[in-house]
Amino acid sequence: MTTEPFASALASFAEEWVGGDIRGLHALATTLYGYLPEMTGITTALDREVSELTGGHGWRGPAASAFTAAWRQDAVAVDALAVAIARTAAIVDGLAVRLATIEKALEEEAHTAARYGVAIGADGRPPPEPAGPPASSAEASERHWARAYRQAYQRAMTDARQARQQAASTLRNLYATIEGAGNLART
Amino acid sequence: MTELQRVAGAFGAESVRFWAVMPPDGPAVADGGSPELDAALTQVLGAIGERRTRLAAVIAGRGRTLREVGAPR
Repeated sequence: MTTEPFASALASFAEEWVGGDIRGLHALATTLYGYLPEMTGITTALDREVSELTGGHGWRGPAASAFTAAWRQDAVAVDALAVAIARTAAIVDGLAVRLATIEKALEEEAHTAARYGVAIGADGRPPPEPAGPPASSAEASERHWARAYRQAYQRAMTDARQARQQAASTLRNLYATIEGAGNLART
Repeated sequence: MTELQRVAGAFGAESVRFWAVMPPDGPAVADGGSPELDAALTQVLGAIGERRTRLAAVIAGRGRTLREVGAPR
């Protein structure tokens, strides 16, 4: 039913500069994965009940056959839902992992830049680019690191935006698949 | 109680369990950080919750079918 039953570990990070609730996304993936054993348990239990009911000298005839066929169709629909849940979990989990990695890398860049005197905003934004030449070699060094951090910040924001766009696109495709398979459950 | 009625009860109980696998409104959405992502996530989670509700009703319906078949005439 699923090849990835647990959410992945996240890179450690302290802030939320790249946006979104990364830990919340990770928790959502964990929650979704947690639904799967329960759903599998239900279909397994009912499969067993139907097998015992209709096996051996049990319930026979056209009504029994029709019931068994209908239940098999239901079980397929439940399985399809479980697959959709697992895919959603994988998409959300993958996004959380990517965002956490981007966030961690940005925080490390900020830490390095701050050591060279660059003033990092509380939201992780780099300082504005100053006009005119530096007044000292210390200021020149600070500007160098500020420039480097500015690039890192832009790269992080671009990467985070792309990760979200990809996740959104994959989720939209998954939604179309779920809706397309909807007839399975309409009995 | 006939075997049909017993299994009917199992379907009824499992339909309730199936419905209760996730919250009534489906899984809660986490803030993805962009309106586009949040909309897509909301859409998928809504579909999952809706499909869960529908399948729980289908399973309960199978139980009713068995109860009717197994009812004394």
